Amino acid sequence: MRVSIGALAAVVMTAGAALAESDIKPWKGKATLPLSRSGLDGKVVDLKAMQGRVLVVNFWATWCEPCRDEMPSLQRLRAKLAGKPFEVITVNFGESAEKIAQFLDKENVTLPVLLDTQKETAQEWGVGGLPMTFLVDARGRVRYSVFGERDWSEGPSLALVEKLVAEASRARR
Amino acid sequence: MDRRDFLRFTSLGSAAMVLPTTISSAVAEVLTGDKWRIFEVTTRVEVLKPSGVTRVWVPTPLTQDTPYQKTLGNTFVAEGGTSGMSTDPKYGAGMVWAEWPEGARPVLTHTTRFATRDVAVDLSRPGTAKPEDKALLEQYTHSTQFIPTDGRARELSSEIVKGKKGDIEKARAIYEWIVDNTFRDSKTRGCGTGDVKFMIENNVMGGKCADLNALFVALARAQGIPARDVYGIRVAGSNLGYQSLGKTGGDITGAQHCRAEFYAAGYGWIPVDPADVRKVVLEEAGGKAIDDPMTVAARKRLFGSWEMNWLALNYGADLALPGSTRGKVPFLMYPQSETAEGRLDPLDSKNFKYEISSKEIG
Repeated sequence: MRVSIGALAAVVMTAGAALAESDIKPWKGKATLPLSRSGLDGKVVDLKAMQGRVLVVNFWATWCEPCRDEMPSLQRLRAKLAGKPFEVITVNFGESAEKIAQFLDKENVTLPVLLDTQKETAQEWGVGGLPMTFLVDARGRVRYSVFGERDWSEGPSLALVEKLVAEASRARR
Repeated sequence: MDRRDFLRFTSLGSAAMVLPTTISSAVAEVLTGDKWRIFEVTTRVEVLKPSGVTRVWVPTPLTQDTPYQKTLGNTFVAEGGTSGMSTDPKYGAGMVWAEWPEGARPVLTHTTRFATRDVAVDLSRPGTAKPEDKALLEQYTHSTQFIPTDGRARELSSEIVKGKKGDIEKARAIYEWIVDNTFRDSKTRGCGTGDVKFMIENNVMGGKCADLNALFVALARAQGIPARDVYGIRVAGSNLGYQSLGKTGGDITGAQHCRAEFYAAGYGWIPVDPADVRKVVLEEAGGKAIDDPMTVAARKRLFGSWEMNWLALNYGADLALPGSTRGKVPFLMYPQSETAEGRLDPLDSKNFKYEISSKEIG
């Protein structure tokens, strides 16, 4: 017997790379989630201090192939929205600073990376697989989440981020 | 660490032999192979970057004998540190622990011997298995951190078993559904996380054994059928011709494998392994179609029987590691370690090195 449980996402504990993009879903969990972590430079980044900006918070690991495939699109997104109330924050899932630094250097990735060596933040955010990405609005509220790789630099992903950025810009006026 | 807590949680001294003599009360009406095979499995763990007090935990074989496995003994050595054996009070999950002070070279070697034989349950007629303890069965219907039994899990489970009667028919429907609707994902790290809550909430139907067999456990429990993951490791090649379902050559470091059991009155605990059916589909001789005779045979066989080229370790979930300053582990199948820097990733061989070998000795 087959029972459909909806469109089966082509993703697992790491999301399949060459398959259809997963749906971005409205967030139904707690409105705000804590995130205060050190970056590779040792400076602590706290989401509370970033209110006023729309954030894309991306959980990833060097061993996660779909994460690696997704990263260039996050970089392009960051470049496209430079100067706007927007930032990309990536949170590494459980790896050492040394390993992450080697990876960033090799892959020429310049995105901000926060360390979560004990996966505590990942647990608080309900990250059960990689990559997992959250869209946080300018008021610090988690609005959307998606499990699986997406191209963030164009199409519906970009449109959704731009919509949130537009909201933030209107609120500023 | 609170030393008193650490000691209270442990049961034995620095080295030990354990010789279980009891057989689980609720054994199934089993058709076991006649010949017991005896294996010796050695695990050597080394923390390459110790920091402060360093601790290691290694799972031992099942602490209670079953119709298919008897533990013959455990020995362990942790030079320069203290070590002992501990049993989780809820699930009976056995583990060897070791602790070293700063400056020591943390190396733990654990050797276990066990006897095993193939197991199959005759599902053609109700058996006369002695009933299992009610409290124990109740425990295996509960949710855990990663195993939901309500909400969408219950809805899905109810859809799957609609029209089915009796626990065996329902469990079979769940088993068949998993074989038909999930896939083994080669990109999944290790054996997967076993986070069924995440899988169901995100419609993720791929993974490896700890995911797919945990899905079976969750969907069965959602129907009130006692079910449990059985964490373990493959110790030898398959004699049934499945290269993908065995491990030859003695080095079994990456051969961890989780199976599942469910309980039916009169039959006892019934072995299943839908994840291995999906493994045949993905990996056997480059991949087999779902209707290939090898897949069909595995699918038939893995509802009700296990080839015992595999060592069962424990049924534990959400386990506290004795002496740990960190949180619980969802399951204990890989060696675990922590230093002053925190818990180490058991799949990160640059920081946490371990080798597991197996040899048949009788």
